[in-house]
Amino acid sequence: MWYFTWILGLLLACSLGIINVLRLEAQEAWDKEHISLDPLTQLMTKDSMIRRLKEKVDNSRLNGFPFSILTINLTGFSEQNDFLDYEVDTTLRNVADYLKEEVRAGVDIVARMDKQTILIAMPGLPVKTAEQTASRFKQDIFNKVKAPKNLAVEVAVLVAQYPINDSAFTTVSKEVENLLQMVCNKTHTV
Amino acid sequence: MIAENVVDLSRWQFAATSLYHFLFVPLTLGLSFLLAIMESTYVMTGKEIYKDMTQFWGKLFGINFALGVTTGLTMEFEFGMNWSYFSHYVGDVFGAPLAIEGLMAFFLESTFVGLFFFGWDKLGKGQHLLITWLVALGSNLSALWILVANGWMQNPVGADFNYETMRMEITSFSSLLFNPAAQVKFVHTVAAGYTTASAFVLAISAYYMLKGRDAAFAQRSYTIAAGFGLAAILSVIVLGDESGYTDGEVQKVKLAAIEAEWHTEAAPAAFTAIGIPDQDAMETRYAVKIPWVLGLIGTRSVDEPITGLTEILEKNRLRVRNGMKAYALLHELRQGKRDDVTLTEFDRYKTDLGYGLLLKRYTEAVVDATDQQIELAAQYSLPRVVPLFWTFRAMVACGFIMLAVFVFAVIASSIRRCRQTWLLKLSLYTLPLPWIACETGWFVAEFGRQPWTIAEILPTFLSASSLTELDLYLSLAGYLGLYTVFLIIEMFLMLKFIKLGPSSLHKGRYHFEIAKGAAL
Amino acid sequence: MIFDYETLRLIWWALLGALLIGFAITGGFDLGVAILLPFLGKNDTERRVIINSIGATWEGNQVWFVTAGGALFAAWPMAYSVAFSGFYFALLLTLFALFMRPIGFDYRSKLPSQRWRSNWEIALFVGGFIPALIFGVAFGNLLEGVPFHFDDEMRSFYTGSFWALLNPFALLAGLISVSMLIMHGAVFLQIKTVDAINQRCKQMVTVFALITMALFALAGIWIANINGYQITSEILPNAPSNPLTKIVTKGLGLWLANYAHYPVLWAIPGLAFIAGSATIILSKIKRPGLAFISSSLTLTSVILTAGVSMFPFLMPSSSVMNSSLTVWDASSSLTTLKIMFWVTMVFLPIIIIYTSWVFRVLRGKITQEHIHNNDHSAY
Repeated sequence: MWYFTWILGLLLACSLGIINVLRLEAQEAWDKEHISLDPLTQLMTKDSMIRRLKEKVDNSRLNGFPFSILTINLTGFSEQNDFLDYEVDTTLRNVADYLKEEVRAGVDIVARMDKQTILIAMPGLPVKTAEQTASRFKQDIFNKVKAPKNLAVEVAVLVAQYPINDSAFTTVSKEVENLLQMVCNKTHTV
Repeated sequence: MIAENVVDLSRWQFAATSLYHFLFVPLTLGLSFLLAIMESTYVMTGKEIYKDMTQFWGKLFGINFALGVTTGLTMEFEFGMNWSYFSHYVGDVFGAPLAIEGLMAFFLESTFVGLFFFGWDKLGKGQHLLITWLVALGSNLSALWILVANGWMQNPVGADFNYETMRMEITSFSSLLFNPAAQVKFVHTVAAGYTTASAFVLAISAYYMLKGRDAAFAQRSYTIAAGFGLAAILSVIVLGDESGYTDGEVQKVKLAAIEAEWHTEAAPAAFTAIGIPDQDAMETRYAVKIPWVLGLIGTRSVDEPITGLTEILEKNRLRVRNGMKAYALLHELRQGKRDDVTLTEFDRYKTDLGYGLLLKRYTEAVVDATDQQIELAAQYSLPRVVPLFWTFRAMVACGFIMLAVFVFAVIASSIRRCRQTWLLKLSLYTLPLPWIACETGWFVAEFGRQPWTIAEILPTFLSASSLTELDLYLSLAGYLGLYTVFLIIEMFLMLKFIKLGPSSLHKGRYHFEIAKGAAL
Repeated sequence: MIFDYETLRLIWWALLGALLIGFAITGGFDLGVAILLPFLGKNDTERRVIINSIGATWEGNQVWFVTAGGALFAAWPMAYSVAFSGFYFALLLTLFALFMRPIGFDYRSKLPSQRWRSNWEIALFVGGFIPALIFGVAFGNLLEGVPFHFDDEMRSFYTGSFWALLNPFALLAGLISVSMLIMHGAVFLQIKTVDAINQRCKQMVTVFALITMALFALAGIWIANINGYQITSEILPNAPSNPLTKIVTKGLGLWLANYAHYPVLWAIPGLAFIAGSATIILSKIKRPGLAFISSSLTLTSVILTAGVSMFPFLMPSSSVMNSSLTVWDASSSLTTLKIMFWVTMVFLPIIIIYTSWVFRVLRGKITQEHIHNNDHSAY
């Protein structure tokens, strides 16, 4: 009688394990579908990105795990009105498509911050690798992506790393703002 | 009669080797099923992360499995090497489940485990999944047969003593297989294995989440382990209760000893939660009792009493005297006097033959035992209460703590709030508990069986091989020395791979591979 | 079908032999390969190739040995208890050597340190050599008889020492065991490897096949000149198992009595030489698959020769000859033999089927490239 119960119980236990994790999968899939995406590039929006950055900062504070922020700025859009709207859109879309191929799936986060800026958050990347990646992106975008002449691509990299439980820390939101500010400044000075 | 030192050393050695073996077995029993679950999810969803999970936890499974096999080899040999009289006396019954264990379970498990590790590229998804399930089945079937054997040691059904061959012989194989003691033990033990493996995966996944690494991987592992583990720990506790009930029916003295039930109380008996039991005075000092609980759990009724040790002792005094008669009759039969009268008389007393054998501790001839020696033998027929009392409570305490942890874990993983630091730390610290519970549990089972190797049939002090003390010291030293070295090596490797996490698979998508580039 | 006690005892003698031969054919080549490891592998990758040629299947093969032990316990509990406690130190040594294998195979390549890896290779060598030697030594001692007796409650007492087990005849048997398993291991390795290792294997096959046959012939001559045992009282094959009721005598050359009685049995040792020679030829002409079959036949005939020679003795006693354990008086009860017979009849074919399937899935050569591609997952 107990042998029979064992088989039943075992099947029950295995099912419980599988069901539990399938629920997790379903929930994550739902989440993914319901994240608002930028209509043109199908990248994340600025709000979602800021939320994710807060998570990353928090995580980094907990265990000193570094992460990099990379901005890709297509300058010259606003200034030179020679470009037609659709040209701008196409270029942006091409860059976005290229980046989607190149980043690490499920690890890196790509978002469109404003008309001409794309931001990539890359967890775990230390300074050297981040800079290498940044210059590679810049080269590739310059060479491969179809864009009108006179279009300049600016790439800037910032690596954020927090000592664990840093007491001289402001709120997470403020910190993210700081980061974005720093990155913007870097872009303009480069 | 074998020198007492030799018997004691043999006991220490068997206890050491089997407790050591059981450090690795529960993880094999449970982790094999967890791997099967992970791989099933992989085949169902097609997501690579589940394949990575199967392979990473599989790596840890392999490190553990190696020592399970190594220490298991010892057990197969040890019955013959150190307990040869036992092997002769009950081999007819005991040998069969061990041989079937080999044919049915070991072959299955060992043949397919190689393919589990090395067949990923040579088999289709479904085929490899089947292999994983077969490995899990094989390891569990092996637990079945060895526990059928052990269950028979506790409750020797389906066998009879044959004076011509001087041993126990099988009368009914189905009684052996469906022995209630064996059934309960089996489900309880494998459930304990499932709990151990779940706690193992839970704790390590919690560690990864605390470190903020490989979050998706850790969260999924945690979720699976929580679900499977909750079902497992519930089964362990229910079956533990059932074990107590079965003991109340077929191994009354063990139940009485575990609960320090000195006297038969009015039903339903109270449960002594804590206290200081004293075997010489036959009482428990500073006892904290919970009324009715023991009676309800132990007999599932309000009017059936739990037999106390004093009452059992009284009965055993009579049984020792019957045993003396049985022994005398046995001798007559062996000398050749095989008339009907002797045979019927012997049949009448032979169930108490074992009690008669207890007298050999005091006088080789048995039939010339004095009243004082009979009293000593009867006292000796009861196990030592104090160690049993405390180890049992330790096991139960661990069990209930783990229950709480798994409940929290399941709730948290269902609402996707596993990242709470308090829960993760709790999950991590729960890691040693299943091992403590398993080892104390085995202690209760086997120490509670004393003074018998086969309950009421063959005393332990008669079961050992005729070896010298030197033989035992050398083998004990060898085992302890080698096993210690192996344990250190195994823990070193296990910790190394746990620290690396799934990055050790070199798939290019995990923490250390990202943070520092390809070099590890 | 209702078998009587006599038939079942005979069947179980045969089944025990089958399990031991099964171990020799499967686990045997694992032991042989492990012994050859330090000699045929000249660098880390080559040695990894050798280890991985048996890595995936060695564990299943070892179960033949474990099951043979279990079957001995189930069908011949008296022999199990006397032998395992009598040969205490020999078994302890074998056990300690066998410990090296699961750990050695799994852990050796998990760390990159050369010192770690070489130590485990030595351990694997020991884990192959010692058991191979001791199995032969044990068999040799069984042929000579070992000193044990029973008291009237059937408690056994072994009165020999460990060092007495290492006498010349037993050591010869041990060497036969080692060399035939090396031959067998080399043949298997020839199937699984390419290039340099493959070439070295072919040499080894020839050398050790010749050594095996030579030593086997020597043993044959020797056995005619030592004492064998014979039951002189009436044999009651259906009586309950009680070894104390018979009368046994010792005599020069009695181990060849069975062969004298049934001359057709001479085919068995004859087969050893034919199969042994065939192994050399088949290996040289690059048909290692067939060589494996003939090598297995060689092993089978060597073991069978000893078993047939001793029949019906399982374990003769040199001190109190009448206590010797034989097929007719050391077995389990009829019920147990019946149950175990049916269980074995069901499971043995199943085992052979899925084992063959596993070997088929894993067929093919192990190359250095394979090791490089699977650096982190291979053994």
